[in-house]
Amino acid sequence: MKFASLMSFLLLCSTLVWAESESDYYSIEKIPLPEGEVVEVGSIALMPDQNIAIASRRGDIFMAQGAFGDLEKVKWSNYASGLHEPFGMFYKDGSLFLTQRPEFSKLTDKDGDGKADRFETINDQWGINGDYHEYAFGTSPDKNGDVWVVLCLTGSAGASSEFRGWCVRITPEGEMIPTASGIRSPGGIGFNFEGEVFYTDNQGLWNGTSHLKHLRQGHFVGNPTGNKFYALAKNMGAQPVDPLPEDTTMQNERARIKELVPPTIMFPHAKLANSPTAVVTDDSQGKFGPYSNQLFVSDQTTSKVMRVDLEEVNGVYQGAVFLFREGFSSGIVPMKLAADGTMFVGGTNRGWGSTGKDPFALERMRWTGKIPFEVHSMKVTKAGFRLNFTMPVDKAIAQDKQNYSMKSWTYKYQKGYGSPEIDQQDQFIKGVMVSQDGMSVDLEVENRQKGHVHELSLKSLISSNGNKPLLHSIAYYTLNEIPN
Amino acid sequence: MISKAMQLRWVLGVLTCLAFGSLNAEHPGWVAYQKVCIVCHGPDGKGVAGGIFPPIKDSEWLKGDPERSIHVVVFGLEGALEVKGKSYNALMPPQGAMLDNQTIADILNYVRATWNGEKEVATVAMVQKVRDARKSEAPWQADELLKVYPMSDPNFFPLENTMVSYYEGDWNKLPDFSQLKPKQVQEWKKPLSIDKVTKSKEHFGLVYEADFIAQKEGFYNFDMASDDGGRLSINGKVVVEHDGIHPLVNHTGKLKLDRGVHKFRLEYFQKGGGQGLVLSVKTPLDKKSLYLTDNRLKVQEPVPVIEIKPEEKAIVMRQFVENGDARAIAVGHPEKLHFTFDPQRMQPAIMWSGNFLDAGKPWTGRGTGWNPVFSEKPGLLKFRQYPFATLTDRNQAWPSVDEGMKASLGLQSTARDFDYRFKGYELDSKTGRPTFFYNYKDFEISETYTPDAEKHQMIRKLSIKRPVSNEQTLMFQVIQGLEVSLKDHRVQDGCWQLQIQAAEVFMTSDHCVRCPIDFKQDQAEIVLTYQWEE
Repeated sequence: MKFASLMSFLLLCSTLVWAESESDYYSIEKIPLPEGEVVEVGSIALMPDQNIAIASRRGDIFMAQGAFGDLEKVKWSNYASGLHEPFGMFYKDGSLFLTQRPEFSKLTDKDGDGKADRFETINDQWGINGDYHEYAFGTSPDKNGDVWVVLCLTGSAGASSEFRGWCVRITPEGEMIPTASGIRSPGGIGFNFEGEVFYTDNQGLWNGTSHLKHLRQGHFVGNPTGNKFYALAKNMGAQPVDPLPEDTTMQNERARIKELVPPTIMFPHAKLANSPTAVVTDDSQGKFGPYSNQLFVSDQTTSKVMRVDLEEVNGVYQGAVFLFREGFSSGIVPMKLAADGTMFVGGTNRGWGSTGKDPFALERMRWTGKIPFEVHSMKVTKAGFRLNFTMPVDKAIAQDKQNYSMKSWTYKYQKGYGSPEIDQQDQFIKGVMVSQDGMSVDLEVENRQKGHVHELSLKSLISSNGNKPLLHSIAYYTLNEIPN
Repeated sequence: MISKAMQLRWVLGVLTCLAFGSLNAEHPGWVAYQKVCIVCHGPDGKGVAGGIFPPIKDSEWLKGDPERSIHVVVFGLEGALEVKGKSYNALMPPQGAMLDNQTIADILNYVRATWNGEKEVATVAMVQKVRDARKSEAPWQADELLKVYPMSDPNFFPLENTMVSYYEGDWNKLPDFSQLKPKQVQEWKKPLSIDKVTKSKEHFGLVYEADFIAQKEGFYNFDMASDDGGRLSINGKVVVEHDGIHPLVNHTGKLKLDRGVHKFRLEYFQKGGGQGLVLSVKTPLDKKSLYLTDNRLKVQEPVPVIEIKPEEKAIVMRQFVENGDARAIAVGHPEKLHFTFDPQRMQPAIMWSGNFLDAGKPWTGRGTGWNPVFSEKPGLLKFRQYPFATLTDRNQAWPSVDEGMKASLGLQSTARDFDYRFKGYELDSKTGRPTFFYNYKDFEISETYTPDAEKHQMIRKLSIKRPVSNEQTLMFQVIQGLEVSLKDHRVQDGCWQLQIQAAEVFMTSDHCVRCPIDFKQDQAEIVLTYQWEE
């Protein structure tokens, strides 16, 4: 008996140490929500004076004082109610701006009683017909002041209302500019460090797996259902050729359809993420840890945050995704990063289940100040990939080809729902070169596949200082282009 | 008729069985079975004597209502009968005089549970009820007994003489089908169906009428799910109803029926989008669900009701509201008079009294379906044209737009196509009531709504501002319709009465009620007082 309990104690310890290793580097704290309210968080905005605002799927907006400080002292107040499932909110010049189902709106507290009284419709040009799936997700303003809005398809499969399946921009003057087509069912939208716009799109019709996709004026990002609205978009030119309905891949169709932009990141379904949502850039200048300018993307289903490192190759964005932090309390939808490095993370799992069991939650994630041993970034090279680490690797181990393995696959680009992993290939590590300082490794890789996601496994690597294994030892690199 | 010899064999059997040892001493039913029944029906219930005696294992006679088996045991059974598809002609001797109620119940419970998988228990009271119910002491004839206690036939279908009528129309609620002419009427064989009757996907209705056969007196529990509205009535009484436009959600209803034939009526309509009709019944005879429709989809649980209550101030809610637009802005007043403003058509869409809104649908699950309002029959404003136009001739036709291109994309025209821009709303800090703002061309219009609970009326005030440079005549169209009448600035239309305060009100030859806007220093005002019957 004694032996058995000792063993289970040791086992418990080892699992605890292992399971909590992410928390050594990034803490998660639950922020108490207004009592008695159902606050399924759909939007978060940073307000002046270290206040934050959250909007719920039920259409309430609550303001919190003290969300940066001692969480027992957080104070909530109701700012507005009766809005229509807002997903996207920011503060500017004394007003809150909101992307809600039917419109982009400006909310102002004119009489200063702490509650919005003016609800101004800035633009309501996109269509809604009463279908619950016709969501609208909006950004903060870009450098021109435009807000980018992605419009989910009707029932996630049809385009029964105007500009469903599109990205539109709303100008500060309230005009709507049709911007890009090919959208299915977005979960979030944001900017990278350069101000380029990326959004997440869920696995489904025409999406073999979930994706991060790049939006620019004129892009067609894959789902052709909404392309009929080219007829309403004079600024967009001619409607793109339709993709073949089956037996094809994104790489094949890129050759046929000039407007088609391949997914920037493929999130392998079931392996990594099933329903990616918010897209947030680390612009905290080091306050959120060692990943300045990288993207953080949440997943609703698995209640986790992933880290994405992008690069532009031959004019096309692509890059690597790593698991970053698991263990959030609900299904994550919005995230916002404050200048001090506090990431606010909101959740709901109504209608779509999540690993985190709470029906809704608001949490904050902070860097503890310790640097984890991680692949900091993964870049494609002419001959293979370069890995940069957050701290020096053990050079002897890193030098051994046996300690790397890579395989790749892609997904069908098809009319049907999702896709199996197809065209599995093994890559061969032909050569390894570790840099003098141990901070990077150049891999020479044979049999890389354009259009595939490449899974690199680095389970054996350890840091030179402290012999730590990698906190996350798998990277998924989506290879659209190989540098010339 | 059974021979004396066979009766004798049976008596001998009873005597012999007394000598047998016990297989299952614990169950009193088994103890008694061995004494009374085993000789003919065998230790395994399969029947002995080379097939002269019928099996009571896996026998349809032992399944279903235990009363049938009690009758057989108490009163006996004679004449030709069929068991498991095989003919028998033997006498089951009456046991009523020999066995007490408890023993009969024990035996049947053992036989039914062990060999026939039946859970329903025979009780002493049931046996007594059977004894009391029958006047005659003579053994049952098989066919007579089956008339009273029919087999729970897996193929039994309780509807006969079924007719289905097919209607066409665009409804938001079940229409009064009795006032409509069906496009088609036909006889129908089981089971009830939508897509076997019509290929239509929208704007149609079906009415099934049939004889419903109740095989046993007792409660009949119906489960109905319809997309869109459905209503089941039996003998003219509504049993289950789920009207309006909605996805499949299970609704239940029950009623007590006597054994016999009852009038069955199932009404259904489909507006657009998803469609479906699922109906099943649990009869007192058989506790399993018997589907009356070919659709046996498992349906969602009913959506909980989440009532929104305006208490101190007005509540403004943007949700999908039934009979409003998808963009509808519902306004609930503590005065218990409510309305929705349609920011697509720039006018109210519905008005109702009593409780405000049920947010159960958008606030649960994925949020499918439209919010119902708490009114059986809210006042629906059928007039859906845009309210303002600049006309050169006061009688000219109201403007329309070329819908060609949008229609080809499956779209409807929008306010924007008619030069309207919705600008939002502002809440009054004391009452919480909204003022709505919109522009028509460069006219700026605002609207307020004031409930008057005492008179059950809603006062809509429109303020119109004209840009100084604009000398165009602006016309406000209140309503149009063949049944509209106008007298002394008072409009009557169905359940509605409108009092109009404006400089001038007139009706065109095509029944449009219009007010020319009379600007004073580029400002004008119209007040409409709505009264309606719910």
